[in-house]
Amino acid sequence: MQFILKNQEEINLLVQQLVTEHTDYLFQYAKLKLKHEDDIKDLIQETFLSALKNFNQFQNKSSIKTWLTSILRNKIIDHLKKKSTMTIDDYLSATEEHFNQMFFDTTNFNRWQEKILPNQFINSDFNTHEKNEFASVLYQCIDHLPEKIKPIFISKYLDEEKSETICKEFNISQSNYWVIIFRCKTYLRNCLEKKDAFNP
Amino acid sequence: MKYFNIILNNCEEVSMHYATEKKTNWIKRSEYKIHLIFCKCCQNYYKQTLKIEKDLLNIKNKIDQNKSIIASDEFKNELISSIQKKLNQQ
Repeated sequence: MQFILKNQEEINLLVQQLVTEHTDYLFQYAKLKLKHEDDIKDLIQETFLSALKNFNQFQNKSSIKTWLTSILRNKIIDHLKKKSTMTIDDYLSATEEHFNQMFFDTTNFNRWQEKILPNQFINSDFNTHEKNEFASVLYQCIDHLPEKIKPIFISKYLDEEKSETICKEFNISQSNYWVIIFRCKTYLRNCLEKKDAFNP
Repeated sequence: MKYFNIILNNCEEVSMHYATEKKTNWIKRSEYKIHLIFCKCCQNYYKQTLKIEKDLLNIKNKIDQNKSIIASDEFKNELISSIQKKLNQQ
């Protein structure tokens, strides 16, 4: 099915409908990947503009929300590439020592720096309220992940992209991709532990 | 002795293996399993990351429910007029 827009009034109505229905979702999606609100706003506007310019080609195979999200996703990747002054590989090398010292005892075979204790959540099932609380703390912790590697981590879990696709898009090696996933999970675990999210 | 020290003590390598889906050969996998049997910290890290992963996979649905981050009405109105203006110019 194709959508044919006939006149200006119809276009204006469509703009209103799209913005009203999808801006909140796109805003939250972009907020997970980007830090600066001005960048987010610009990219959302560009997303709607590209979508509307190509709206006649929109095939009803996916939902409009999915279609808009995929446009925004590509715009975010291009934006990060343009903005980046340091490659991700260089970033990983530059921060390796700091990461290791933060979590591992490099003088003792890289054992964990602090004891990782068992937490309540491992053995118990959360009720709905606890689940929501845990999710909201997890959301806050994702927001605190390092800006450089956060979009890659989000691509895996939010966009559910395959590792090969992510590596190609962000121009990183497979082994560095796994380093990023490991670091992000370690940062998240540490953040959740500090916020006591394991014992709601 | 040094070999056993490395197997039994390198938490970073073992945790990385269990936190990712990186492929390794069977010798390494066996070493990691041995480490995991003896290391409580890595056992806990492994269980915690599994829990985090499970929740991360549901995060897509949570975006819709998360009402703490929403775009302001002011931004939406600005967006509508700015897009309409740009489309009219073309």
